[in-house]
Amino acid sequence: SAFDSDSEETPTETPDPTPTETQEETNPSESETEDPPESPSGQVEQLDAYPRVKIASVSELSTGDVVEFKYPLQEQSNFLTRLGEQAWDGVGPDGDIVAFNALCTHAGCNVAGSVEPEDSRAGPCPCHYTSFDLSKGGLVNMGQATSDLPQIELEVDGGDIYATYVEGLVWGYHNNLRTGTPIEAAQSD
Amino acid sequence: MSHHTDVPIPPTSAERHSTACRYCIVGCGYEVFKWPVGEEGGPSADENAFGIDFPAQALGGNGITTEMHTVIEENGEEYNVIVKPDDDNPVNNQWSSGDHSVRGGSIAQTLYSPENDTEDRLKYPQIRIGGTLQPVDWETAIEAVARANELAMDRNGPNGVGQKLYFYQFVENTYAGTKLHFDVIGSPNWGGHNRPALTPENPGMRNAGLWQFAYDYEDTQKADNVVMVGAEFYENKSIIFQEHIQLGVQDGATPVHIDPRQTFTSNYAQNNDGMHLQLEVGTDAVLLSSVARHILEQGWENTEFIEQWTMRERSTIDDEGWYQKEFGQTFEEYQEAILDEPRYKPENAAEITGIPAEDIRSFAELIGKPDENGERPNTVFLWEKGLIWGFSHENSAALGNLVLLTGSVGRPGAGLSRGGGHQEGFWMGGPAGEAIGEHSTQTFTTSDGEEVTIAPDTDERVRNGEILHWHVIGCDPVRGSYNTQQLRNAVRERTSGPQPQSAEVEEIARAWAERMDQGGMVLTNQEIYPRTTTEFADIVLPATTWGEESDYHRWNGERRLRQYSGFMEGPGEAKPDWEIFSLIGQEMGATDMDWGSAEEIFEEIASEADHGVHAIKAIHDKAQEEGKTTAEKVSEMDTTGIQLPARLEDGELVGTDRVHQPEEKVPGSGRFFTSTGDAIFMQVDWNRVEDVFEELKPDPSNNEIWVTNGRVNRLWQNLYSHTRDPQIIKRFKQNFIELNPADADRIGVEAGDLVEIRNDDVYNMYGENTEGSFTAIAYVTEDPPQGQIVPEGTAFTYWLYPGQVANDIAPAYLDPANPNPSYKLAAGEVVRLGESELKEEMSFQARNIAPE
Repeated sequence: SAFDSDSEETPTETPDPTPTETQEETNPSESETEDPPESPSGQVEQLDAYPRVKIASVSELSTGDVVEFKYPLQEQSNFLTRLGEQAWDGVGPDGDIVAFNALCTHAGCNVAGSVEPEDSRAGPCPCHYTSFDLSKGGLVNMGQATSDLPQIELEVDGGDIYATYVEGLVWGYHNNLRTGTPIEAAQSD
Repeated sequence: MSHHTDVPIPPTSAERHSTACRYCIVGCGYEVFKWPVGEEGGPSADENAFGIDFPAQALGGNGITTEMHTVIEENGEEYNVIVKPDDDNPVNNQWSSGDHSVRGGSIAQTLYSPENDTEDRLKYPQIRIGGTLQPVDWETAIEAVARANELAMDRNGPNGVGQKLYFYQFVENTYAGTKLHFDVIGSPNWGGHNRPALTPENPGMRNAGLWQFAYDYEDTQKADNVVMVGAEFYENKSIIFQEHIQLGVQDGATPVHIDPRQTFTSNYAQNNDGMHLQLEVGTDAVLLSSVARHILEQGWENTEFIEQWTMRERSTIDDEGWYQKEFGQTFEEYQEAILDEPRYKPENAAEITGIPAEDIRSFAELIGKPDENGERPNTVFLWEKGLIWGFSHENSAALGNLVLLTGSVGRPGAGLSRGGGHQEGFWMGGPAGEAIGEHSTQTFTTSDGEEVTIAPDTDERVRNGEILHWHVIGCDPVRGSYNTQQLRNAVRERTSGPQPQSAEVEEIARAWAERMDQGGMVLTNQEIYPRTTTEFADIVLPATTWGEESDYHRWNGERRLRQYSGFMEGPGEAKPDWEIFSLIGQEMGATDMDWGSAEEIFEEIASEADHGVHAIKAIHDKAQEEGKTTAEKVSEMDTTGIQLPARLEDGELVGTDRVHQPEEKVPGSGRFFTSTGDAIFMQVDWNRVEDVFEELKPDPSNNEIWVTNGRVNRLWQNLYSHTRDPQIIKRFKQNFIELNPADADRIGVEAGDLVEIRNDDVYNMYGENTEGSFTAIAYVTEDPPQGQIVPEGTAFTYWLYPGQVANDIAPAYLDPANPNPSYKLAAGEVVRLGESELKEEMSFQARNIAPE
């Protein structure tokens, strides 16, 4: 029957997004996907508050650079970039240094490889092609994401850049500070 | 604005309801989880209702975003509600799992809730007393509507009443509404939300026997070519694009986009070895007929198909009906007409359409030429409003002819469908043909001089005074019609006469009778929110909507019927639309409208629907056999539902993946929907529209450019829900107009300026041309990486923005044979008003960046 054949024709295998590298990037803990721990909540640690963590130095970051870092959990990927134009909540002498969580807020694919600092843009995301305006707080410019890319709040102290907070929910999490391994907070000099 | 940074996880005890998206035609499957605030599930699979471990895995379909969650209040209790895409149905789970559009992904933000910006939902019936809308009880309101109908009919018979009704908001509601209008009142004056007459939207196809939603979504996965005409699939039919079309393209299908703009879909096509045919606004029929001509000249037409499946006798075509007699053609007539028309020579068509002749030939070869083994390409033809709301007969006929010429229909990977706007849920409940045949005051003169009665343009009858009571339900005609500035002026004037001075029904009737006698009109607006039309309403009837109280049914773009579960109460005293229609009908003496529930109406519909493309009687019969209601049977099929028509085969209930298959599976029909089951070629005569086209064209001496309009990714229809979601509306806090930098330079505007778009000569086929204007923010992108979205001389704006209404300059040109408006063919002068406060806030990045 057509009704039954609909069910049968629905692929059961994992989708195969292109480019294939992307899928590896989007599944940082691929082994978890294939073989989930029996009781993840039992093993998982959590944070009580956002830590203050040094992630780069202003002097080492040139316009157009894209630097990836983990924050506030070791499983959470972010990117730091210098746009060359002033941005909302940008830091540094030109207010053009910004950082965002790397997971597209639509379906959780990683956009760190699709950052175009010269256009102040992340995307199109390799999965469903959402693009974000990095000069405007990660605003969804176009595509299926319903929320902005979570912006990492930054502070500059003595030429060093610190991450202090995540504005918005990281895709896949119910809480940015839960179900993962906290990174160790670096102390300021 | 502060963002949420967490969402609650539903516990295993959460209620689960099956439904589908409240918005577009794609009709993704959705599920709703509801549970009391204070209870929460855990992050491991055995602790939550999703059965997954958090964090959710990318593309896995079970991530919850803050936009998918809200808190509602019922009987003093608070409940968490999550509305999320379902990860187990064939619509939104082909390439990735639980895929959703930006619209569907934010449904929760539109639910009536103290947390959402929904306080202005209409909660009580109101009547304008002494010039002000005041709450009244339901009994008074229903009596007043019935009196307004009676007063109008006393003066002008059934023609005194007009109804403007959504086409889509579930079969139970449209059935009850049209039963009231055509059966109880018997009026011919009926318009759908997007057009003023009861007309086919694609007359050149429908009258040819072609169904406008004929394919199975999966056909695009199997096609050789996916041709998209006047439709921005990535933005507006997002999940068909992401879950189906792109699978086909990855498998080697050639994407072709035919559109005056260079959108995301255009760039996607070009980046994937496809084509973008960027034609001049309004010239689709010339382009498509030129393609047909090249196919004919090369002898690539599908002779076998044409001989077996199209009407070959002139007399058979003449017997089919006046429309077919007027426009239908045998293949020989069609061939001769196309070859005889010099404008369809590719070189000449290039002049008119702006598409180089070699591209016209390449496209013809792509869809027409058999390979060395004689195998013909499988093409799926998809189209939407860019085609429909131009010259509707010529455009739809020209595309339908290509389907027939190539015989690319009714097999896996081949077929036709609209992209579609909303989902479909229209079910006629009364004798519309009878009402129109007996009472319509509009006719069409055929080329034989015969006067044929046709469905009347009811918006015109609101303007000219024939309609004395206009009942407007779930749509906003003073924004959504053509030439809306003039329509608003007429409605304002006609509702501004004598006003009731008390809520006593006799006093109400006295004032309205006096108003009608002075040439005025009474306006009833049945709605969920106050909208532009509500500003003029005498009676306001508050309705419930998607997810509220009733279980409803409708289908998507591959005719997939599903149940839309009610999972929450409506606001205040709001009632379901079907119940409001039922109360009005009974007040007017109807004895067969006293339904107790939506389920009862569905049972009534299903028990008789034994033929046609939406046949559902098989579900009813199977349900009876199993001792269930039809609604219960559909409910069992969850978000997968069943593709119509439904049939019983060897006692088993089955759906139909695609229609127009050689062994037709549509009960009571042949392969095509004509009396013989054969399809009909349709005349495409540019002479019919050329003079009008010349008048509609922008006049450079008045600094005019094309100002075409349509949907964009983040906004839905007239924004009844999207103005209420801060995350959604912040992208476009006002209407915008995309301008080519060359035009912007010439006009002297830059990105972020507030501009006015003016036309002091809006075409009007019924009388004097009129004036129209609206304002918008100039959207100009310098040096976009993949090209300008609009070419020089063409601007694009959102079509139904509140208060900044693009249709204010849409021409009053409607095909004389089938009064559908040409909304897309607007032009105007763009004038800078000043700098907008949104200049620094709004993003002006390119909106057409496709993967390379």
